[in-house]
Amino acid sequence: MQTPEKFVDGNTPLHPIVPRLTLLAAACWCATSPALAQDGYAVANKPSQTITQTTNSYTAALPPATPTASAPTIQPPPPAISMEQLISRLKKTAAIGFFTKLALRSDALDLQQDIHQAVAQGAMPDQQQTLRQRFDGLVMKILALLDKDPPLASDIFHARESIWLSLIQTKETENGAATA
Amino acid sequence: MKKSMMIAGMIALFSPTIALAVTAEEDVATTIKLRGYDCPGRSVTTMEKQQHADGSTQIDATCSNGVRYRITVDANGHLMVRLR
Repeated sequence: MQTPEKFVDGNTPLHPIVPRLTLLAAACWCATSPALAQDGYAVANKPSQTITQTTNSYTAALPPATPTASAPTIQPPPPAISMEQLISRLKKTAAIGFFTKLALRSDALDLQQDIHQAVAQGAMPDQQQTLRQRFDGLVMKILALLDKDPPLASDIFHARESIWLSLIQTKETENGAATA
Repeated sequence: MKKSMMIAGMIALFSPTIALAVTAEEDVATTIKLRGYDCPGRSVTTMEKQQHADGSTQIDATCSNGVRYRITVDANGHLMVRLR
């Protein structure tokens, strides 16, 4: 029987199959490791189903995600306010006088007409910023006049984006219907 | 004592309405200011209203600085302010 050779320090050398087994074990570990599998190391010859199952088993082993106390709370969107209701409240409020309301109505109608004209001429991308500034100015005027009716001022302030969108979308829809 | 408390209660009850109400003079002064004209103070000193047969309304108002304005509201409700 052949006895293995000994090194100078007295240790016996490893069997030639040992390095190959080590490499195989390393390859198997890489294939089952989700971090490495995602990067694509050592999984070229593995079927994708095996990787998915392995990843799923890792995901299942993780504890479920729970919101922590330090996480920022997401505020719910403000409730939708009816445009008709807002107009009706604006007409009825005693914080603004009759002629002031007429002046605001004239401004609003002029702005609406200009938006309609810009959409009809296809100049909305160029004029949108100017028109939006006019709209913001008009809203600011209304809010300043409603200092004696804070609930209505607050509702108009929160609904200003939807009012602007409705102004544009209505005109775009009308324009689209007219051209079609 | 009871009577004074009742009066105080009535004042408290109706005070928001009183605070909200805008007088015609204040209304006209605010309208002039909204159109970018100078009209110092909260209200105009004098105002004269005329109703025309075509449905339009005309108001001549004088601000506290003595400047006179004419407010015209046509039949469609379109409002214009002009310096007189």
